[in-house]
Amino acid sequence: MAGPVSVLNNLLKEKVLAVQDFTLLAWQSFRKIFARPRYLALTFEQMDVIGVGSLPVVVLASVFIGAVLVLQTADQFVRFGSPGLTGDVVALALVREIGPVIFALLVAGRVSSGIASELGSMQVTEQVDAMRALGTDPVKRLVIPRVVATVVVVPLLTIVGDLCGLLGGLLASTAVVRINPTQFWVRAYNAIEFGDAVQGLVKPVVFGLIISLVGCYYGLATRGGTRGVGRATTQAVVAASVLILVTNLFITKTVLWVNEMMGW
Amino acid sequence: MADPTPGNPTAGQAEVLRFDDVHLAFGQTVVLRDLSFALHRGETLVLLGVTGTGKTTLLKLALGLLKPDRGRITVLGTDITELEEEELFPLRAQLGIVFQEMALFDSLSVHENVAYRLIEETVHGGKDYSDEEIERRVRECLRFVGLEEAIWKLPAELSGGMQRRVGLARALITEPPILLYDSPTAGLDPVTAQTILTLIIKLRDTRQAGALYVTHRLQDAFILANNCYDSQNEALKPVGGDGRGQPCGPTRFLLLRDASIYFVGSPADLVSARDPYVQRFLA
Repeated sequence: MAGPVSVLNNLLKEKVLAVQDFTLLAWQSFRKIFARPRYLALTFEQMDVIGVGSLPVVVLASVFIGAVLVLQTADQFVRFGSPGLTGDVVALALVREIGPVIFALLVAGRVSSGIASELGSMQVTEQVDAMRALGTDPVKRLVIPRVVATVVVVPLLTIVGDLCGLLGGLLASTAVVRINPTQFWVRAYNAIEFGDAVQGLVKPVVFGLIISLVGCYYGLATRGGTRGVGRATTQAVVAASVLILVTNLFITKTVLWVNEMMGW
Repeated sequence: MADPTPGNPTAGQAEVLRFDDVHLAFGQTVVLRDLSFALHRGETLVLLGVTGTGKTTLLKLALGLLKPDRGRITVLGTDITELEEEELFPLRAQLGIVFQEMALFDSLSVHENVAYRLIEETVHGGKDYSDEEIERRVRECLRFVGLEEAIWKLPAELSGGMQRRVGLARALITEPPILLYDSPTAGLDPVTAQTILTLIIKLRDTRQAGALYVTHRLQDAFILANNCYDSQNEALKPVGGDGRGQPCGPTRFLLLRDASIYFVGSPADLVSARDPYVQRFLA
């Protein structure tokens, strides 16, 4: 029977190998992104599946998030006699932080799992091997279209989500808290500066990369039949979500530093 | 170079595939130990062995889907052992494979599955097949396997046997000089299995492709060895009542045991072998 040291040794080796394989997949994707053949039709198809498919859930969630933000903050500002600040807070929170992170988590739940299960099913039914045997590079045909589509689509979804979140906030502030809608909208609009927009758009690009690459990695690493596909799907969502939250801290710190340096 | 496997009736024919001291292990488990053999044009090499003896792995090595730990694999005169994945893609057009689990692309129609390689070659920019040319060749291959009417169906709409035949048509589309069959009759009823075998023999005798045929079904191996295709009657005909006659396409048997070649020779050599393990395998 293997001792605890041996078990720990194997576990660590497994984790290091996983990081190595993930890095290799990411490197191959970047290296081959402009190489021929380019599967543009597949990329647009993925944009439709990922972007249009995720739109309803992002719109719905953002409206309610915006409304809840107003309900949670307006009360405090009314108490201090500055209800107009609600617009500032909701706009900044949505554009800088809540929008990119929450929408990325929502898309991760839908897209990382979808990619992992699709590629995982292909892997366990030997379709990926068949693809290689028939002269196709799976990275070019399966990974790159999904990565490009997600990186393009997640920032667009975030912009739509931010806008819908502000509309949700506007509705709540007008209907429940009785703040003047023009005041809310003008303050929300004026509160957002260039640096906030940069932060709000850099994050979804990185998160899009994480969502797609993690999904592809777990999909292509699937072993062990249908049970393996289920495991890969769950692992992809968990890993993508954790990576998004951890990366968010580092991006926030970096962008704030850059903003300070550039005076944005 | 001399053929490392004895009992070869095709010595002198062009060598299409060669393994030299190929060794592969997954972790502590040795899957193939110092394997050497050669396959010639028009020859069928039947790989026998119980499950888990590395037969499928051997096919994946021949395709370059796996790399050996040591040794050399030569495909049509090219050493593929050190080639990068991208360098292997053009060479893989010279090999057709029928996977055990079919491995048809389930989101593509039969037409797209069979035409896959031609479409990819057009996308890669190397060749420029027109849609009419692609459809003509797809129909030709599907007609060969008797499935032309299923051209616009999805794989899910086909039975297991029909899917195997589509897999065969897909392997044939570029008329490769080497064909790899991974248990193509596994899990099929006897009638469908016989249909697949007839097609494989027809292919062997009409197109002279070299073939590696993996199976653990002895009856399949002997049907392959003891029959040839009668194109006039479109049926199989036996080649010598006792199986000792020269078949239309020469067939050799290669028995794997414990990751090594245990026996290699003609069907007659296998039947007459006195070795207890071979006797037990034949029983």
